[in-house]
Amino acid sequence: MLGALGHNNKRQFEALVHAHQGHIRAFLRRLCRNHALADDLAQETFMRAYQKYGALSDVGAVKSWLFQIAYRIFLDHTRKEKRRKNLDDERQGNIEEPPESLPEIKMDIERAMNALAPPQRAAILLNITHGMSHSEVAATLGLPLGTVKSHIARGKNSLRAFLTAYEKA
Amino acid sequence: MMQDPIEDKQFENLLSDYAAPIDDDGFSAHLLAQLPDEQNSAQSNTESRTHLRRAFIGGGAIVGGGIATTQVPALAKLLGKVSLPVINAPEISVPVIAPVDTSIMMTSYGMAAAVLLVMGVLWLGSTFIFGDQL
Repeated sequence: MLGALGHNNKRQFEALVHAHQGHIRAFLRRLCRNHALADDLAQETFMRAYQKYGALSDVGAVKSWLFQIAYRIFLDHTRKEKRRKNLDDERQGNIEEPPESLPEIKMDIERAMNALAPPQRAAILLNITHGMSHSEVAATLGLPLGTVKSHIARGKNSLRAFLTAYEKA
Repeated sequence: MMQDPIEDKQFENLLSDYAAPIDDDGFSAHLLAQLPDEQNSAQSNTESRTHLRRAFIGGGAIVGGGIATTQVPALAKLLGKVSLPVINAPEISVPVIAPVDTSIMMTSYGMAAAVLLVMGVLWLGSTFIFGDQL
């Protein structure tokens, strides 16, 4: 519980924020495709993590625990946005930021990744860039193992297609 | 599903910039400044609740004790009027014993009961107010 968060634990939590904020924010930016929104969600992620930190039993799994919270917050936000959009079609939703002026290859990678649905993108990011196993990704995203495997396979196919096209060019 | 480590490495390199961690740029400081000092606030909430509870119980005990004290004479008077029922039993020849003055006895009982009541209220009140400190 939060009340049990001692001084040492608070110090540990500060260290945790410094160590993981970059990855969590990057993960959320790639899911949201809106930097300001991603940072707001990252802040919410750490606030929620702070509330639950005292109850965290496996400190070794803190990274996947943070990704889990971040992904749930992202999903909550997406659901709320969908509901809001359904209520008012006229209203403009989150405005995706225009792509930064990146070198062409980076833009192509971004395009290839953005073509994936958010759960596929999340699965690929956790598996490839954060080195999580399929079962770890499944636990983090709260998805069945089979679904995660198919998400990762589809994501890899997309990246493979991109690589092939890039090599041909 | 088989994983190709070489291909995975290629993908990892491909996505290295895409998934690169974001520079802090004051994010951590801003976030940590906003964290509530929950331990202190929880402690002060508990303390204020305890004080409030003690004040209510103490006040209640004092008021209750006062009301009970004002009722002591009336209670003693009432108990003094109580007389033991007369039993119409057939007369048996028993040795005569000196008669007992029951009215004095009832008044004494009434006073004792009132004193006990007041003591009980005071004890209850002090227990709630001071708890284990007594």
